[in-house]
Amino acid sequence: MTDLLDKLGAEHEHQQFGILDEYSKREIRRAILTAVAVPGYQVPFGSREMPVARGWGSGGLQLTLAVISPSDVIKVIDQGDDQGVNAVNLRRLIVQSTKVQETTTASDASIVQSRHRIPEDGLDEQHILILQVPVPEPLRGVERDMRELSRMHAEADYSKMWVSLYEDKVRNGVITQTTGYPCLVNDRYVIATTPIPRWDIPRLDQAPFLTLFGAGREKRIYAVPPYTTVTPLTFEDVPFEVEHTPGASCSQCGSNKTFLVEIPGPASRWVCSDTDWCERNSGKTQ
Amino acid sequence: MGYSGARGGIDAIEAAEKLVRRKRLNADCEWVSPQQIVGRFRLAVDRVMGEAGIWDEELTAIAIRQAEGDLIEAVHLLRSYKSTLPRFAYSKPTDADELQVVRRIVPAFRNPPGPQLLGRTTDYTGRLLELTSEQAGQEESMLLASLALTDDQESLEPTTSDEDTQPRRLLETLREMDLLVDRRREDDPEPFDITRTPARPPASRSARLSSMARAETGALVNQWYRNILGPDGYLHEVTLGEVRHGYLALRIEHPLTGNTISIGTVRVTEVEAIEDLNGIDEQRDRFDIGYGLCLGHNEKKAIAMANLDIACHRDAGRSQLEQSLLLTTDGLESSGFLEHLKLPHYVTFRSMVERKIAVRESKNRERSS
Amino acid sequence: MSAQPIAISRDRRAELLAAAQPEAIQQLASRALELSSVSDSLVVTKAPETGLIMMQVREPVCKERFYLAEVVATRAEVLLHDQTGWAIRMGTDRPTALGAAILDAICEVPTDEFVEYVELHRSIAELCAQTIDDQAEAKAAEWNEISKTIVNFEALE
Ligand SMILES: [Zn+2]
Repeated sequence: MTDLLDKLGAEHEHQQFGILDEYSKREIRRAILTAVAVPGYQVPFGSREMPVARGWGSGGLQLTLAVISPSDVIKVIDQGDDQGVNAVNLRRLIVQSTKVQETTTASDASIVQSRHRIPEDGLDEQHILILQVPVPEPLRGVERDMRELSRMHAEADYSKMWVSLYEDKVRNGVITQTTGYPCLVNDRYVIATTPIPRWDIPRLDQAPFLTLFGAGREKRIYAVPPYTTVTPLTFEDVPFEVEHTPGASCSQCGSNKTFLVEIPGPASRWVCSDTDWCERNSGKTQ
Repeated sequence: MGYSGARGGIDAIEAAEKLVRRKRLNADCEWVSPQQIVGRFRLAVDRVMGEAGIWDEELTAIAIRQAEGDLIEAVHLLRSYKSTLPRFAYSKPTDADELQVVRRIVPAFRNPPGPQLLGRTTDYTGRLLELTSEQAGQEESMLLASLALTDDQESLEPTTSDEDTQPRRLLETLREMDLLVDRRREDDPEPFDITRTPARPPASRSARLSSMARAETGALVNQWYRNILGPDGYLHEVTLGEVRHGYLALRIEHPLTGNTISIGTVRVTEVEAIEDLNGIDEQRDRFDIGYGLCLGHNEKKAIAMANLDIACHRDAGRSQLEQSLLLTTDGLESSGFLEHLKLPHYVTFRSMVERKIAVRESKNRERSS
Repeated sequence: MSAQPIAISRDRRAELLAAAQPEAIQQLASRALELSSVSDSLVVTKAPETGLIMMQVREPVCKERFYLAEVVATRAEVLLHDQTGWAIRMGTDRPTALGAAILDAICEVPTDEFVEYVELHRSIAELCAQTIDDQAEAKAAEWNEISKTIVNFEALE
């Protein structure tokens, strides 16, 4: 008899596309629109709890699930690697819940979700780059009080940030900020560039693609729309420096014009962090 | 490093998942049902429901079992399940005065209006580990079951009165004694929904109460303790007016009649904390009250909440106590962020190494010049 | 089932169907579905769906409302001879929610047109009465145990 009731009920069930309920997706999309309209402004949103932990890409995942449609093709990377364990897990969740196509080639994708890197090539006007953000507040190092932080952004009062960069330079001879380098977007808001390396910063400036930043734990979304200026904070006489190691080149593809990571050991060597780029490039040279 | 090597990533992940699943489902002992978990680990279930901000004992038991007893993990499972569900409605407001108590104590008076009802508590029981044999335990369980049956046959008429089950709260008594600051509001502001909008300082009191109601118990207790003893020191030790555990009715609007109906009850713990006002700008001839209310039976949490509620009100934004409460007490956020450190960080680390070398070279240049 | 059937409002019926034993509801609903005048006309307009109700509480200090937590509930809606039946129950039990909605609809169908529903109406009224009894009994049993833990000050003096 329960079967009968079960059956009556089951006939009318529907499958949820992309984990989140429709109301939540709509709400996230609204926040995205605000973020695009005000480049660099951190838009608060009602971040949902996801099947991945806070700090593990829950913000990026919500953005992806809010903008994705069945015809999209998804690429997911972590540290530039499509096969990084967390990239694999996130891609699996996205693909299982939406049935979209997956790819490792950036140019074949329509949405690229990434942690810590921008793909070396292939992103154009039709692409959306979604970056997972652990700490969205660029000024947290210089100010902890959130009320004061919102005042500073509202008044574009970034003096504390400049002082801290100056002190850094004086003390250390160079600006020691490593990844997530603070940048001025559209000459208005300072953003934390997730932790992408400085290498990727020039590639955000006037980029043809839309970049969305999602911080799930801190419940904020911000954006760099296509063709927007992104200027790393630095002084006139202190040029902005990207990561560079003299003489280093990829032991797989030979490249010295990509972001390289070190494989330590007695015979330490370098490889591209963008594994897909490296693979395609190796193919060409062979 | 080609695709086949990379393929190892997903294989290893899937193998790890299978390992966890096999060890969990096929553990070398008897199966545990959700009913057993609800029946025998009720306080763990209550705690997880509170921290997940979701009432459903059976689902919670399933989550605890799947999480192999990791309560924060169980909270995570429930919260992400919650994200897939539609929101039907906001309930009609239930007045906390309607709480049907099954435990109620009033530490502030020996003989308050209404009962000192100890209920199901181990507060006055020596914490001795019971090392009786399994057999003796089961025999006692059966004996108790048969005694309960004879108890039933006596079929005692319910001797309850409203005075017992819904005692007047001490706050009312203090109000009558003209000992309380009157903070009752007439404007009835819409509550803040922390699940839809992130609560950020300065926040409304309803946002603070909601945040604390689903905070991690340990985080809230620690927040309380570090403010009592630690470097921040925003907290007074309060006197407790009420500690209650009982049922609250859940009411919604009937969609066809438009009337309010009650569709069941949830259990909650409620605390009133009496605060001694001593600030220069405060009514020093009166007390004020902090309020704590959370799902399930979780007195530690409700007490910490009540004390932090009044501390935050008195602080009035002077310190960063409110920010601390709103932003650092969610168990999912703190533990998720902590555990994310296990993820690969070699891109950022490579960038850091490069800057170390840059600093060194800059120092060398300085020295040689 | 021994309880005397009682006449109740639609609102009260919804409350009691939300609290009644799941087996009893399913049994009654299944019995109803055996009638062709039920099974032929019944349309499930909203399949049982599990969702959340945000619980709102008014606290006593400032008389302010706040959101305590969300409660899991399952609801369903059916149409039977032009009458809408609706039910919601806490928890995730979909068949019982649907069963309750069917019973609700049956109660709305006038018996002067459908004589065969008289018996069903009576059974549903009995179920409601039984549920009231069960609730009272559970409360009495709980108090029977708890009341012994009331501190008796006179005895101490
Ligand atoms: Zn390479």
